[in-house]
Amino acid sequence: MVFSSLLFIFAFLVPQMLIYLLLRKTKARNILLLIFSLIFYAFGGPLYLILLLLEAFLSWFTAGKIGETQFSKMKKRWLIMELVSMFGLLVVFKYLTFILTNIKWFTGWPDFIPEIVLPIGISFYTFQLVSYVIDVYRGEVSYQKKYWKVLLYASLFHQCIAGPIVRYKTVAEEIEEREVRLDDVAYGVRRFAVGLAKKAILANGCAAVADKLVPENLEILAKASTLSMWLGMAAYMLQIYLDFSAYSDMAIGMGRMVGFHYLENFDYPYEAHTVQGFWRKWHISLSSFFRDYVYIPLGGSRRGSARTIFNMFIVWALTGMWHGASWNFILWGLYFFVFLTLERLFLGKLLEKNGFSRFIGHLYTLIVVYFGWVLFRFTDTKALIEVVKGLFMQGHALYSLETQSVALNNLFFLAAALLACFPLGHRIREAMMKRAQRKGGFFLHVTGLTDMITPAVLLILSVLALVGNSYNPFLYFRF
Amino acid sequence: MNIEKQMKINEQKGTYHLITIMLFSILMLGGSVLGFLLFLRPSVSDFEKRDLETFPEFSVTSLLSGSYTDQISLWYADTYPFRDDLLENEQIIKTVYGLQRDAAEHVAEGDDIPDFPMPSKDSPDPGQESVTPGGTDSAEDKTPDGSETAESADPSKNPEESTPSGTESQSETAAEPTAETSTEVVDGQELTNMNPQEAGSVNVKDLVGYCVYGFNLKAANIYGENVARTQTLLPDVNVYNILVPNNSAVMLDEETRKEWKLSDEHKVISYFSNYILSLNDKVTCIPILDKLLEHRDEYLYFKTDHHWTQLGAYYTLEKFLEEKGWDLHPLSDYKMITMENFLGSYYSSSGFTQLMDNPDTIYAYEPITTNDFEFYDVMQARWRQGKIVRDLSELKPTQKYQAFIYGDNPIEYIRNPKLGTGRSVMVVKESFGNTFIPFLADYYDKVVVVDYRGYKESIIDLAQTEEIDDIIFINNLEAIGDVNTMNVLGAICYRSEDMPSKQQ
Repeated sequence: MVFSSLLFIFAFLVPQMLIYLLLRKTKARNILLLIFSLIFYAFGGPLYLILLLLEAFLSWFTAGKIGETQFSKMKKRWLIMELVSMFGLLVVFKYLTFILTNIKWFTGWPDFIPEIVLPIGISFYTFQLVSYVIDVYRGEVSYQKKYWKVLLYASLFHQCIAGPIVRYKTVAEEIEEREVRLDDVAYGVRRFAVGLAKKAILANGCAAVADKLVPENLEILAKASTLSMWLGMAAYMLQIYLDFSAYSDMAIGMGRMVGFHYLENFDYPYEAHTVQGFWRKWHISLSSFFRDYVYIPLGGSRRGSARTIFNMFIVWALTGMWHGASWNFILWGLYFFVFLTLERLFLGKLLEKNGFSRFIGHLYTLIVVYFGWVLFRFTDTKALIEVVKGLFMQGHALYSLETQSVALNNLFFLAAALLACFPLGHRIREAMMKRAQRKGGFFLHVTGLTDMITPAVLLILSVLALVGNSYNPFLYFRF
Repeated sequence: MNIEKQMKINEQKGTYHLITIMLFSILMLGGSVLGFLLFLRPSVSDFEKRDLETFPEFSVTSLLSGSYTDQISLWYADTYPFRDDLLENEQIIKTVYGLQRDAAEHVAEGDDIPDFPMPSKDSPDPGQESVTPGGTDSAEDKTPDGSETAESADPSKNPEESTPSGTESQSETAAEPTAETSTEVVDGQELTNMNPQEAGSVNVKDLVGYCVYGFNLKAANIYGENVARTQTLLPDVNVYNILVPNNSAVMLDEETRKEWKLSDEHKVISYFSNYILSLNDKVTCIPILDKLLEHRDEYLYFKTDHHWTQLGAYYTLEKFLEEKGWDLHPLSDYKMITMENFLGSYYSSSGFTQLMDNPDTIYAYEPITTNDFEFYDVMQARWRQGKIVRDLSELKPTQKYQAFIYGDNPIEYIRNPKLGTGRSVMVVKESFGNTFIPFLADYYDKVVVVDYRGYKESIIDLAQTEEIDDIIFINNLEAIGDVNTMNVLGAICYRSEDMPSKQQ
């Protein structure tokens, strides 16, 4: 089940919220959330529920052992066991086919390569559980005694299959006891509606444009014109942000409605002036995971330049791999490694100045990210080469009827999608809110009324879009 | 004072928060309740002209693979109550997406039109084929897509429910005469569950939708072979072949046709004629493209729909009557019904919402001597009586093409013995024929109409049982440009015992 489906909104979320409101005690509410989360997860194929239950169990068990023992050696052993089992399962279910295919390509062995279907959300909940056990090991959070609460943390449908990767310490207290305030619910409603509209209207619309102009099918791609490809990849760039951040918006929104405060996962990344800045604003829960659990333990930037660059290499190869078991993702990660290294060596200082260099920095960042998405989109190497050739007019016409037609027919829509990637609206609202808070009166009523009407209108528009739109791609199932 | 003010502000904010939550919750709850009202869920979309998803059948395998639940999700959204109304509103919203005047996203990719003679390499020797149908020389053998098409073309699939024969028709009609009431017209029961012709690629220029037509040689050959075989199997019947050009061949300027790389329909039509005549020279091919081009400044095709208007069909009638040597009734003899605000397939299924700003008007001409006919209603699985041409002004803009012979039904009869001509005709058609058929009511005592996409029995047997004098194949080039569809036609142009489905 995906958030942006009518089934989820009307047949899942509404009943869940209704029953939730009838229950008073946190324990009962937690049990309800757990039951709904397991149903939600089972919807994508009930067999993999076993995997989720198992991973949660192993993590609960090892964290418990780590928490109970006083000996650091024992703690370490249990941690290693957790890491080996979690990443072992992740490798088997996510990477084994890829690894064996490559071994076969080099050596001709093995004859049989199993086709393993990727369990939905495995990359997200594995990372969540690992972060929990490491945090217990580090003494940053005390271990959870109850298995079902660890399971609730890992499986909570708000974030289980598409992030953000919530740390246990963020929600540890709220799992035990949480208060739901009126303004939290109002915020949650608004955030959820914004996310839903971002996904159902904007991201899906951008996807339609991108698929029309730069289809993944090699045969059709070969006929696309250069301008079509540029425009199509731009639409894809909008799509991927709107799509991914929309899931985080909805997760944060749904969390707020029941009293959970998840951390932000995106902070208008296309506003960044450096590639490093981009990664501070893009999928924050993932980059901070790699920072806290890989980069810093490896020594971070404290062991000299060469070691720093090596550490960065490891982090970015892993970041690439996390996005999918395919060479293009690894390449995509290393592509960013190159620019981040350049920025660390000299480029960053040049770009961090004010004024013109900031503008250049912004432009440079957008271009780097743009080509990053080209790498990201095409898992098929032949298609990737075709697109790169096409973008630079090698063997492709500059322009086609289709380019003009699609561009003009979606002009205002794409402009709206672009606007949604930048914080203009957000900032206007913040300014209004500040004045409203200070002075009341007119500003209070204007912001109050817009806040009131916006979620309702966005919900109606989203439902309209979802009824007619069987086209509802979910990019993050493969992670 | 300041604290008091702050408190008041916070209180007002709280009120707004409360209303925000209430408003959103009411909508969510409303949507949820609506979703559970199963009896409100539609099974057919008239707007998109397709059957909607059905609730999946349970199996352990589909449950474990996740496809069962996926299908439930799809079903839930696809059959959500009032989906057509919601879709129409969505279309209205989409009109603000861009400038949306022209939309030329497609370029035709037609086959080369061969200079004749050039029998298809997929067909056996044409002469031989047309003489000996059936046996091993079945339709499946003729196309490389045989395995796939055999299933779709299988006329034996539901022989009992959906394929009445001519004799059944009379007894059933006598037993269950049904009077048409106005409520039945408006309540949306007039839909058929046959698959309509899918609007292929569409481009929009100056707020008019045009068919982006590309010639398909394989499909053309199958069509030609079936027309010729019908003549061969019925040597005493006059077989006529009328190919209806696409609107782009008639109404669009030469320059744009070139830009969109459309196949030249003059050449296409002449290929069809040559191929058919090479198989059986007794068939009469009536070319109408030039006739339509003479009148191209008139309202011959709709702007928002892939069909032609009844005026286009009227000029075709003129050509046909010239061939027969019969007199043409002037248009003024007919009672004309005007139905404004028609939005057709180019609007509803192509995604070009801007066409809404340029709706069509249907001018429908009632037959002079009778307006009654009977037809087999697949949805209701029974024979019904109705008006050949009806006033559907009150229906939704997207439903009005059903004004002609109740849309697409597998078989229909117009009986007009008062005329006293003693003549009978059978029309083999898809939906382009619907506007032409009403005119025939004034020239034949009996008109038998077969929509080959729904009729599953032998049309050869039917023609013999009904003692047919003339057979008119009247079909649009785009509609017959698809191999699968043509195999559906191919399945019924045999004697009953030779039908491919009965050879298995």
